[in-house]
Amino acid sequence: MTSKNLFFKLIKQDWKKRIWCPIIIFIVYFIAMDISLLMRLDTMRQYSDRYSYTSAIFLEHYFFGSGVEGAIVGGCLTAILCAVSGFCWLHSKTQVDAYNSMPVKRTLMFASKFLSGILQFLVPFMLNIAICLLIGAANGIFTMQALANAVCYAFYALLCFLAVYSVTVMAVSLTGNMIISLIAAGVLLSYSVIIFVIKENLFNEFFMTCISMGEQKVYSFSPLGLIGRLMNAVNGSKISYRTAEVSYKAFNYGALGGFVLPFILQAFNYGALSLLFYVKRPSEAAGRAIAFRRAEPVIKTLIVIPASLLIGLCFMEIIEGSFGWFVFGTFLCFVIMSAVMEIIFHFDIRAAFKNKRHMLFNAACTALIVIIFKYDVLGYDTYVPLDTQLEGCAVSIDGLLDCDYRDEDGHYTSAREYRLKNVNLKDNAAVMELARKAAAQKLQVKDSSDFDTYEMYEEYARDSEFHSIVLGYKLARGKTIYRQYIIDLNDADTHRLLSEVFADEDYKLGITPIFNEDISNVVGETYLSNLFYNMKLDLGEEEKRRQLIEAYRQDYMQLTLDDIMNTMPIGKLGFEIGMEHLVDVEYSWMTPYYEDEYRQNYPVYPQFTNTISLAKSYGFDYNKELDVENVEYIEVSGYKSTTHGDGADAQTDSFTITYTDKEQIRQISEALTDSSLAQWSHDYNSYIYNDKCSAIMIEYKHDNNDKVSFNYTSYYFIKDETPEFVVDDFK
Amino acid sequence: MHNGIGKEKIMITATNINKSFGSIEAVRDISVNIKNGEVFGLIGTNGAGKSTFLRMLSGVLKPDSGTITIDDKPVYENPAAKSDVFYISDDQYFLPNATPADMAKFYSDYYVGFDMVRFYDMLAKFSLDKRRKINTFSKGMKKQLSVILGICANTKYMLCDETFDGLDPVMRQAVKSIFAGELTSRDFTPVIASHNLRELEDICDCVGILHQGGVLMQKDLEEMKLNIHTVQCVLKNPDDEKQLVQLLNIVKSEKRGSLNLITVRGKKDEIMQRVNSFEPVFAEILPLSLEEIFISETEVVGYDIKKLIF
Repeated sequence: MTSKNLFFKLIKQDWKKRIWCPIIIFIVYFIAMDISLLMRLDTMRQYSDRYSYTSAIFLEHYFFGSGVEGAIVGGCLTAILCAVSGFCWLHSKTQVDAYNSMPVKRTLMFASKFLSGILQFLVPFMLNIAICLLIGAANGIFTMQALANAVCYAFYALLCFLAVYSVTVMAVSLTGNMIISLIAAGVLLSYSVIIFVIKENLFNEFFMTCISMGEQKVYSFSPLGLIGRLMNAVNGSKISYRTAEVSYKAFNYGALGGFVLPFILQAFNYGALSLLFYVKRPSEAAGRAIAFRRAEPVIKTLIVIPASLLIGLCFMEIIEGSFGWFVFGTFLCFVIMSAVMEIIFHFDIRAAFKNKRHMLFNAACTALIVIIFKYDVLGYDTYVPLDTQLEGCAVSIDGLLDCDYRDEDGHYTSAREYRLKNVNLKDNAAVMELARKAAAQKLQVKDSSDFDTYEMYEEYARDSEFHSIVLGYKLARGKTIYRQYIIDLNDADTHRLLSEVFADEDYKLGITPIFNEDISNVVGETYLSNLFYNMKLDLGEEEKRRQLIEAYRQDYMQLTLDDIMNTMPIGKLGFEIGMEHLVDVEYSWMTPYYEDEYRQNYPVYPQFTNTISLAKSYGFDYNKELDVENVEYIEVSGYKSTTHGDGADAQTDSFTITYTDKEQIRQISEALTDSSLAQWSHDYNSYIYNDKCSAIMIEYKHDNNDKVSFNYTSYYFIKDETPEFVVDDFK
Repeated sequence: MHNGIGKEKIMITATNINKSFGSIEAVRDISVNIKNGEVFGLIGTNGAGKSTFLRMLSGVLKPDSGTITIDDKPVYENPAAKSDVFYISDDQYFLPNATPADMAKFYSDYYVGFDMVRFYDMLAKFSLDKRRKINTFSKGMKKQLSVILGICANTKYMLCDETFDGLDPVMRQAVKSIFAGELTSRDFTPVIASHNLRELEDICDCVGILHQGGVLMQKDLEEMKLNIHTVQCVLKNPDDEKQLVQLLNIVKSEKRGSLNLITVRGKKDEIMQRVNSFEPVFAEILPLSLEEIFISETEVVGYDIKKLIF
């Protein structure tokens, strides 16, 4: 007969057996939480001027707020300690004999040990949280918000603890040796992350059209994947807050709510698996590597194949994309890992190549995966959806009219990201024709190392004009599939198709943030500039701003791809955009830094008659040339080169020439452009630069003869317009 | 040494038990019946499968095939059956840094019938300090403690794996007398595994011999002792010797000079009656040791037992 309250007695027994575990946990948390809180509060008291927030805010939003990151890490480490110390007796034959001969159901024994492990974390952890709150109360900074945040803080730490704890218990139940258990726990905890990394790298290395868009969500079927995503969400839960007195990053636990169910499900699933393994585990498994002989081949396959591919990818990365090295790395790791796994399974080095049939099976699987990726057996690169499957298509013509944009949280968004989010072309036949053509052509940008001689490379470079476009196929079922293609604009048909895509009004509207911006967000300050002059305009009236944007929109809609490729902007138009949320760039660990506005700059082409005319009415002339009478001199830097026979190496002599002649200055000024104007179409008309010389300084005369230098280091000569005397000087 | 309470009723039954560890066949088709109230000895060389069999009997290991029942209840994963069993392994587990008192508390959680008063009483009798750390105990002291814990758990069955090894002769006798006391006072059935047959001779009622995973034989010692005897006699006439051999159920016969040493099956009185009918010069029945009985029995079935267990 067994006693009625055996479950609780077993928990008590377990606590007595490993009382060191909660004691260590208590001490570590005491140092990490209570003592560090006291130290911080003391520092804040002594150096209050260094902090932009109060101690109460610190306790609420930092210590029990963003500090949850530390609690999560602590919870994970503690979980491993509690799980291993609670179940490592399964690896001792003596203890297994003792416990398994007792009149207790294995399920009851498991439940008691499992719960005991959780309590060994929870009790000291909660005690320390209570002490911290008492410290807060003693310092007069305790608030109900701090209490609520402390509860959330403990809750999320517990969630992470449970997920890691369940998996580690499963690892210990699956194995019969402490070292193997720890390795197994490491693998199981991070397996989804490893698989994600391998998958991403295989796709990126082998599929030329593969592109990762948006936030890459790591697979979360193992705890570290889910915890990684939680950590990202924790970072995203900080919202800057500012009043006249304080400024700080408020922490919002509400944003983490979506993680509760996944964590609970994960803990439950792995907990259930742990129980299953525990109950089914044979007692004789103590001391063996793997408790279940039948599981060995499965485990081997699940480890050897990903490990081999991962090492193969590492070799490929080191040797810059060499497929040969990928195969070698994969093969080498496969052989080593297969042997190591067998040695571990049998604890016998002579068993390294024992299970040849299974080794061959794994080799075949690995080879199959390599073949699928190498030869694109599944047609990833050639995939283009049928028109009937398509609801719309997001398009980004990379490097063409890139604009700065900050999202509603103030975070920088790349031009490509913005376009793919906002462009949705429908019924544009050119897009899909271009996609099918690009998918069929499978063009790749090559560099000189891909050619036998430099002349061959030059010929290749001369005959092709490669550009990148990214398409987002919006399928009827709500999924968007992204592909990146290389297209050759020297191909007349491709040029025509791309021109048609660019000409689509929806595309132009979608790629230009100012046309999509709420007018109330556009601040009155507007900046107009050409190559040499600029003006700040205060368009306080909303109607005036709307007028300017409308004028610009009309011009912009007339712009063609050929216009961009053949002309340089003559100036730019900058709008200040107010941000709904403050941008929080934390330049110091103590005080957040804020920006209220940011500027969106847009090119002004000579064809933009409406904009130019409206600007003129406000007093700014985009066509105003450099007043040469006010210029003292222009310095031009460049080099003379001595080219070797093979054309590969060139010896250069850099030098600077100063031009003071007014006529020469005028001619030079008419042939210049600068990088700030070239940025919108650099990839599409870079050929117009004269790469042998550039103007680095224009020195202006002032009325009182004081000289002021402007270091325009990025003036470039337009190749065909470079004055002959400059060309001669740099021959 | 049995108590007579419910004797003859078979309480532990193992039928066609097989157990392998990987490619090693530890136990092969073992069938054993252990009667209530008898002391069952399990003899065998190292690696014969004694410990594996006991671990299966105690519910630690699950047999690959076959059934084990205790009081008609399957033992594996059955607390109702296991609550009547106390298993003392050859390397008994004690909690880290535990004292005998801690271990008593530990076992009392599992066995509700654990007799704490008797435990401390027996500890005193064995001169074991209840507050001393067990990890400072000698091997023999740990064995004594294990037996005391097992006895005080008050289970019907006690499975002892090499328990008598490491005990000094005095303690061995003390343990045997405790067993004897238990057998007479309550429903108690110990199963004792050992590789030394002499250890078990004076305590076991029934013995099973294991060899290479299988049971060679299982016999009731009393029955065997009553049915096999060695007769030492000198007959007047050498021709009588041939006639006597024909009259008796001879197991083994040996002659040293005029002295005949004959191992014979049968009741003692019947044998002596037949020997005396030849009016021997000298005749007497010699007691057979357990060892001799087994040598004789196993030789009959074709085994050279001396090579197996001694």
